Amino acid sequence: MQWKLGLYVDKEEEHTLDNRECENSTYNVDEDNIYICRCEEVTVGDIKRAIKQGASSIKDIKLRTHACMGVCQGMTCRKNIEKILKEQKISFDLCNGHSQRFPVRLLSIDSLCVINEEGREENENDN
Amino acid sequence: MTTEIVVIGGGIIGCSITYNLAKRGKKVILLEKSGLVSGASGACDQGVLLQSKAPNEHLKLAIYSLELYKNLEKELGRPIEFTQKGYMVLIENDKELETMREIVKKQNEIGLPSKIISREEAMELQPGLNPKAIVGAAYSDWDAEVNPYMTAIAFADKAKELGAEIRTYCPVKNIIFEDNVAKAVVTDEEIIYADTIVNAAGVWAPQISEMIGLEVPIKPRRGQIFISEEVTEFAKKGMINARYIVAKHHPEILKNDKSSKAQLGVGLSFTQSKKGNVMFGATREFVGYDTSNTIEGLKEVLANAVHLVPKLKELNIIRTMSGLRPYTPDSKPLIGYVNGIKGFFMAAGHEGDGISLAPATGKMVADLIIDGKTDVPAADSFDVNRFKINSKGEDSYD
Repeated sequence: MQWKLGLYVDKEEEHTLDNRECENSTYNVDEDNIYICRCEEVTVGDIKRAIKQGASSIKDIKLRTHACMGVCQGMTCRKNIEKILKEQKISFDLCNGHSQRFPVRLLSIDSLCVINEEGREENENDN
Repeated sequence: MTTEIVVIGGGIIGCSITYNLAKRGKKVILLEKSGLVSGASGACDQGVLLQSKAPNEHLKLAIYSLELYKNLEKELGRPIEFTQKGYMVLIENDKELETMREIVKKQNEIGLPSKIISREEAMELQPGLNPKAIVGAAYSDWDAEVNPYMTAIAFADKAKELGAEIRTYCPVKNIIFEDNVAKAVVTDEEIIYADTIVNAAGVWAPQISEMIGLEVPIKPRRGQIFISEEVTEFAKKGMINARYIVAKHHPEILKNDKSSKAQLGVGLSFTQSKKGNVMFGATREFVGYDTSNTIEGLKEVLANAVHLVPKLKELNIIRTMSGLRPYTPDSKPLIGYVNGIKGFFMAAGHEGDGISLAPATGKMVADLIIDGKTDVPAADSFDVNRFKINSKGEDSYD
C-alpha cells in the first residue's frame, strides 16, 4: 500500500492513477472541499476564504467560520488551521495563541453542581 | 500618509462607526491593536436589550438602535442573526417586584411595551424554570438578540467594500498632539495624519486618551459567561433577572451585601445562539484587565443559574469566556468631541450595552463628525464633556 494524495492505493493500481495525472487536479480531489473542522462542518475553502477576507489568527478564523467552536474546541482541527495560516504566509508571531480555557473537555452541569454543595452547607451553618 | 478620519478600536463600536463614515463617503482607516472584536464585543452574549436600560434617555437611544437593527442585515449584505424573541426579567422576591413595577411603568411612559407577568405565565414562556425561585417576571416582546461578532465583522467588511481601510494587529503607539490639536496617530509602520481621530477603544480608551493628557473615567468590569454544546431549542426566550438590573445600575445597593454572589456582581443572563449553544452568566467584577475565568465566578454563576433554571442541568459546558465591559460612573457612554481640543472624538464607555447601541452610536458619531449635529434621540445626554476629562483646557476650542 502506498500513500498518495491522502488515499491508500494498491500497488497494482498505481500506474492507472499515474495515467490519470493525479499530480494535477484532474483526479477528483479538490482540497478546498475537505472538511477541516468536523464539529462545525468547516472546509479548507472556508478557511482560505476567511483569510482572504482579513482573518490573520485562529481567533479571527474562529469568528468568521465557527471552526474550533464545536464540541472538541479545536482539539482536532486547530493544528491544521495553523498550518494553513503558515502556508498563506500569515506571520505566526502575530497570531495570538488560541486561548485555552476550562473545561478541558465537555463537562456536565449536573455534575459540576457538586462544587457548590460543600460551600452551601458551610454557609447554612454560618447563618 | 493622510486620511480624513482614523478610528481607533475594532470592536463593534469602532466597526459601526467606520461603516457609517464610509457610507457617507468619508476616507476612514480603522486601526485595531489585535483582531476585530478582541475586546468586549468578542466575549459577550447576544442581548439587544431594552429592559436593562435605565428608563431615561438611555432607553430612548436603545429603542432607536433596535429599529436600525431590523434592516441591518439587508443593508450590510451579510448575516447577523437578528431575532426579536422577547426577554423576561425574572423577579425573585416581593421587594424586587415592587421595584420592577416602578421600572415597567417608566418604561411604558418612554414607549417600551413591557409588563409584569405571573409566575405561571413565566413558566409557560420558558420551560424549565424553578417555580420556588421566582414570584413573577417582567416581559417585553421587543427585546431581541443578534450575533455580536458577526455584526461587527459585517460592519467592517461592508465598510471595506465602501472604501474604508481596516488594519488589524496595528496598535496605536502615540498621538501627535500640538497646540491642543490631535493631528496624527503613530503606529509601528507609519504616521497617519487625519482631521479627526475617533477613540473607540472600549476599555482601552483611557490609555489612548492618556496619549494626549486626558483622564477618561472608564474602568474595565469583567463578565464571565459559560457556554454549552449546541442543542435543539432550549431557550424560548432570553432572560435576565431583576438582580442583574440592580447590579448594573445600583451597585451601591449590593455594597453592604458581603456574600460572594454580591461581591462578584452576579446576575442572570441566559440566551441561546442560532447555532444552538446555550450561554449563561454573568459576573460584574472590577479586576483590572484580567480576562481569566475563575472558579469563584463559575461557582456563583452556576449556583444562581441552576437555582433559577434547573433545566440547565441537562446540558454540558464546553467553553467559558470572559470579557471586559467599559464601565462609566453613570452607566452611559462618552460620545463627542472633547472641549478645548480639536480633532479628537470620544466614542467609548458602553458598559454592557455596546451590542444594543452599536448601530445608533455609529450613526450618531458619523452625524456629529460630518454635520456637527444629529437626529439620533437623546444624543446630548451622552456628551463626553459631562465629565471633566480635559484638566488643562477649560475653554471650548471655538
